[in-house]
Amino acid sequence: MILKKISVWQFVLLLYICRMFSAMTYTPAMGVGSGGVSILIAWVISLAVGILVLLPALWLRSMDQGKNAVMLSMDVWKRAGVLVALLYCAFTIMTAVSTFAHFEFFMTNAVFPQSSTLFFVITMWIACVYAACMGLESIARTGVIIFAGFLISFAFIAFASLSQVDMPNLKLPLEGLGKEIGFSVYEQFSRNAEFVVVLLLLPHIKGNLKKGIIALSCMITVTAEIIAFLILTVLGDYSATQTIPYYTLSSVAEFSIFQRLDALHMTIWVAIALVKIALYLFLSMECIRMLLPEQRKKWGTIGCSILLFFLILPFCYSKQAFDGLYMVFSSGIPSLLLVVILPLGIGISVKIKKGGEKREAKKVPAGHSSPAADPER
Amino acid sequence: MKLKKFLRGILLLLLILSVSTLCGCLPSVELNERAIVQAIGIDIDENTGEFLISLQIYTPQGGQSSTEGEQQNAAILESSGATVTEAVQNATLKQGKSIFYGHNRVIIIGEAAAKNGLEPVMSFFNGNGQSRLNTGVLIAKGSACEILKTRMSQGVLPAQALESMADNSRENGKIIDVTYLDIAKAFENETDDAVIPAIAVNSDEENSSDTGSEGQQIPNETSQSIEMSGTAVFQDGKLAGYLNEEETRGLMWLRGDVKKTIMVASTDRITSFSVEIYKTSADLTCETTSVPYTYLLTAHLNGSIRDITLKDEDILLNDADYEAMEQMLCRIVEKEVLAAVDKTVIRYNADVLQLGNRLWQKDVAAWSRVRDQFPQELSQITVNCQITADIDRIGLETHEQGKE
Repeated sequence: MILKKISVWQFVLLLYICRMFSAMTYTPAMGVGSGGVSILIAWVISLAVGILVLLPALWLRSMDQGKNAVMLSMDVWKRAGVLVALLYCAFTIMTAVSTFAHFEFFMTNAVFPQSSTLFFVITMWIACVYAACMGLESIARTGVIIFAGFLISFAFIAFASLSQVDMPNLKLPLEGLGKEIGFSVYEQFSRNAEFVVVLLLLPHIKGNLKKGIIALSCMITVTAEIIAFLILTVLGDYSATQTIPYYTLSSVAEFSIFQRLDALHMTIWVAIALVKIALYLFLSMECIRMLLPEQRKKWGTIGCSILLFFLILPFCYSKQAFDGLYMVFSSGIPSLLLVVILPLGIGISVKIKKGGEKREAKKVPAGHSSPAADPER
Repeated sequence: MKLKKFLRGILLLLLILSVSTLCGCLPSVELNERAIVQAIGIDIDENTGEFLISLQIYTPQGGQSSTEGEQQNAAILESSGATVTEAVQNATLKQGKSIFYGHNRVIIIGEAAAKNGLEPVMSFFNGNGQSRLNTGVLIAKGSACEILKTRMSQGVLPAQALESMADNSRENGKIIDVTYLDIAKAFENETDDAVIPAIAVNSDEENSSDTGSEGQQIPNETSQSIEMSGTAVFQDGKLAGYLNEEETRGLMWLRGDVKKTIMVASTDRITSFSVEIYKTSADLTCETTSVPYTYLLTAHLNGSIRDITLKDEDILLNDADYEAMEQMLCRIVEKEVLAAVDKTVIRYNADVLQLGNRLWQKDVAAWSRVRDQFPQELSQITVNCQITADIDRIGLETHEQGKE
């Protein structure tokens, strides 16, 4: 199988915009007794946590550059590897569903309150399936274009909001600063589904992944810090009453002849949602396709697309289901399992297997080595 | 490969079909079917407790060479309801058009509605996605409807004229810049209270005539005009009272809101002088975090002399005169600041200066100790002033000794 590859910078920008989707939907826990400073500190700590959490991914890449976590698990765990593939598939498709539900919630609650949910579901689903079928290179190229749009929109909103910064709104929490910071760091880790993307895209990336991960983490931290700072200082305690505070911030920001910048933000946000959903749908397809024989791989694509459509509906129509899904992701268990526990387990198994093979090779006497294994011949 | 082609064909077909069916997220509303709201007035009927809504709707009056003064370009739509939402819905039924709030320029809240409490009003605007958070808010001394109905002589739209009037007053240090977001923030904060500029209908005799476009006096239809009239102070979401012009400017010094203003004073050797303050910086910090709470206002003003009348024509100004003028400016600012603190914090018990937040920012432990009793202890607050002024521009007229 020939793997389509993207450069490490395409990969960085793609993951950056996907992460920004979550950062822009972030609601700071403000109000009685809470302070915003803990959120700002938590983002800095999250930078270190993010790099630390991705060490297993770099370890797996150092073992075999041509395989991702699922492929390696299928190599070492055989049948249990199928379960790993299904777990990663479930995670990626549910992340796509969660993103879709967020997108639909935003469109029908903030932008077009009188519109039909089904309209957004069908149109977005068609676009996402098409993008996912086009493959990773196309998604990454689109991601780079949207990154440029995001930067312009972000710069406009940040610049226009600066005049409204009100520093007395920035306060330390009344009690348990450490606890609040710890909670925020864990929340940011659990909301960061992009760690899983790194593990699944390992064989698709060409270039220095270490540099890429450091650059990605720094970019995310700086942007998220600015977003959190502006939300906290410009909106104050009002931000706690808003479902999407960054959108509220964009509607307050006035720049030159533009009376409000929420339309600009909305356009970029929709485009980011498209790329994020398409990427996760593509990854879920990849996980399933690994389990299927060559001639049946297309059914993986069709199956995931249809599954996505039917999974979206309950989460878009039922607030309880939407909240439930959010709770599952927020618990951090899926991230812990798929980003830390499984990759470490796979890495150790690969190491043990390779150690065993080396020992086997040493047992074979030098005179019995095969001609192919002897480069001198 | 065949499947891919098949899928592409299906997608292409869907896309082509979508052109005719999915051409928008919402049913289209033509411009002539839309009522574009320019200003909203909210009053309350004190007898029934019903909300009375007045919507100023843009209705262009075509066929006139000039729209200023002659045409109002607006119609007033009034309705009532048990809640603001119901009143607005009733207005929609009367109008028969789709009401659009996206271009609303100003929200005017009547005195009775303000005394009743801002919560029902806030609740309506919080839930309305079309409303802009940076829409200006004014409190009508009297009825909001009366303000909207008063004939405005400037601007294409009455709401635009109102907005311009508020902008001019703001730029000249006469009223505080308050948007809906500022009120919402104060409302959600644990201790903060809101302040909103007040507006009133002036029935003065002087306004019985108006100046026409070519300078001649033309009779006005009514003898009413509108003027900015200080600041309304809220305590716990309800109107507590008003600040006059000096107290309003004092509050603006405290909040660091003064951008530009004219100050008039006199000294021993100067009958009167006007200084235009063109640059200011102010910072209010918490000094003592237990009763009696002490806050310090550090402010610096840069001024430019606009006019000056000396007590004796032969007097030549020296450095001591400029120092005396600067000291005079500082004294005026201090007087206005203390008057504002006295009225808002001591008399109305309203935290319109983020005093609670500043204390929290200064000392978290102290704030967790005092936060429950802080609103009751507001009257035990002292604000000290450290004000410096610098008249560093003297204009083109000089009263100094000639220099070679």
